[in-house]
Amino acid sequence: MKIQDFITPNTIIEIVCFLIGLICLLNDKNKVWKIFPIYLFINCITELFAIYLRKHHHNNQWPYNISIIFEATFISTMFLKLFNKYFKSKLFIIGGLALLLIAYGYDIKTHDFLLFKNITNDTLNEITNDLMSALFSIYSLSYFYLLLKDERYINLKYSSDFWWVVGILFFYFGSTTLNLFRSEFKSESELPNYITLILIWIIYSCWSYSFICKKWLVAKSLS
Amino acid sequence: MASSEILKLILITSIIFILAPISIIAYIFVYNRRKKRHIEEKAQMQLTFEAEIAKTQLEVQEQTMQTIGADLHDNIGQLLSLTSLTLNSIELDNQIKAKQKIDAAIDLTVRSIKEMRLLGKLLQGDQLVVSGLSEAIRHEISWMERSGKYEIGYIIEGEMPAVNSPDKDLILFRILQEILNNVIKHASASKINIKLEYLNEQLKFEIGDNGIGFDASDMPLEQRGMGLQNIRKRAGIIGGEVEIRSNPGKGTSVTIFIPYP
Repeated sequence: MKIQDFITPNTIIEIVCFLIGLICLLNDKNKVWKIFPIYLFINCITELFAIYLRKHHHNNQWPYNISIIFEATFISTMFLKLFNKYFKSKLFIIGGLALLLIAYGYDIKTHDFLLFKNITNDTLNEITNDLMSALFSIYSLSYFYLLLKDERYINLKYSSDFWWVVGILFFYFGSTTLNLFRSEFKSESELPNYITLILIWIIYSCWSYSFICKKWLVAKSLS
Repeated sequence: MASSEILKLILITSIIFILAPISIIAYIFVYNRRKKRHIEEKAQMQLTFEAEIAKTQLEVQEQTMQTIGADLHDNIGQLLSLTSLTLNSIELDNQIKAKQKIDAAIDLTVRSIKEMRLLGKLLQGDQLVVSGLSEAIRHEISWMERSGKYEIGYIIEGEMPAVNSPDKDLILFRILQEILNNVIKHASASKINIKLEYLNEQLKFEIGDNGIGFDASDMPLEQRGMGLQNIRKRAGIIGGEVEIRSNPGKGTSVTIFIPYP
């Protein structure tokens, strides 16, 4: 396998976002932001590993099914931090995570996917995925509602929180169509891949900008 | 459904599902800009309010100083000059006359001391507003009654709130001073009635006189007086409304309604 095989539009934006995150968030005072590049790193590894599996004619869905655990945890933790500015959101977020856990349990049971048994099962954890999309879309919209209700003025152009949530809303709300029509896809059609690619570029671009804002704001608050 | 139709449907739905967040974000930006403008306007209003309070404070002090200046010149100055003249004219040879003159000088000195005490209280007048509107009004009235030209009635109706609003008190006190100035200068009144009424978190402040009155509709705009305009402006700053009723020969009544405290 050549190194060029790993360079795809997906991996480019994911690696770029990870590097920006690493540079901007490494010294961040907030722990949630500080550990966020770990999730981006896991994403990159998952993507690269999935490419490797595909090239070797293996099923490559299962790494995504594992990384979904990190996705749910990291994103929920970030929302917990964002919501805590407005209300005590611990129960709200834990409730969401509990729902996801139940869905995940159901998915692995129906697909017979367990870490050490039938690990290479090639079925997407659909219910977890759909539920996560719905949940994170609701979280994003709730965050925007709280933002609108807040009497304080925030310059949104440079708000890292805001741009992070914008990325989430675009990706998870936008992917609703893919979730709805998943059963209708024909394997030869490239359209779902293009839509996913656009959504991935949107979310990672928004996140990269959000990290830059975060770094800039930290610098400003110190000056 | 044919494959191409499904793809078309997916494409259209995807576009809609991407456009929806764009619309939401655009709305948030517009709303946020409005919020910023609103906050700026609020800050500007606060600045104007504070400037007006400072101006009012200054005007109250200025009025006090003018009154003191006039009183020093007209009353205490005269009394002391007369005392000096009386003492100078004493002839020690004529003991009976000398005693009469000394008694007169003592009397004049006592009157001067009384005047000085009243002046001292007046000097504290603007400070009195801080401790309560009602007390400040009482002092203003007692000073005005001293001239003997006016019969002043003062009534308080309803229980005044335990917590007062110093800024509103100051503005109301200044309005009272402006109205009393107008009465002295233009009304030719002999009776003044002041009523302070508190009901349902609303303060009604009424000042009426039995003077010559005026017809506001007949009066050219420039003659309506800065006083009346100022009263309306000041009351407006503290969220109040002013009602002025006057008719030629039937006196004038100014009523101010403000939310309080």
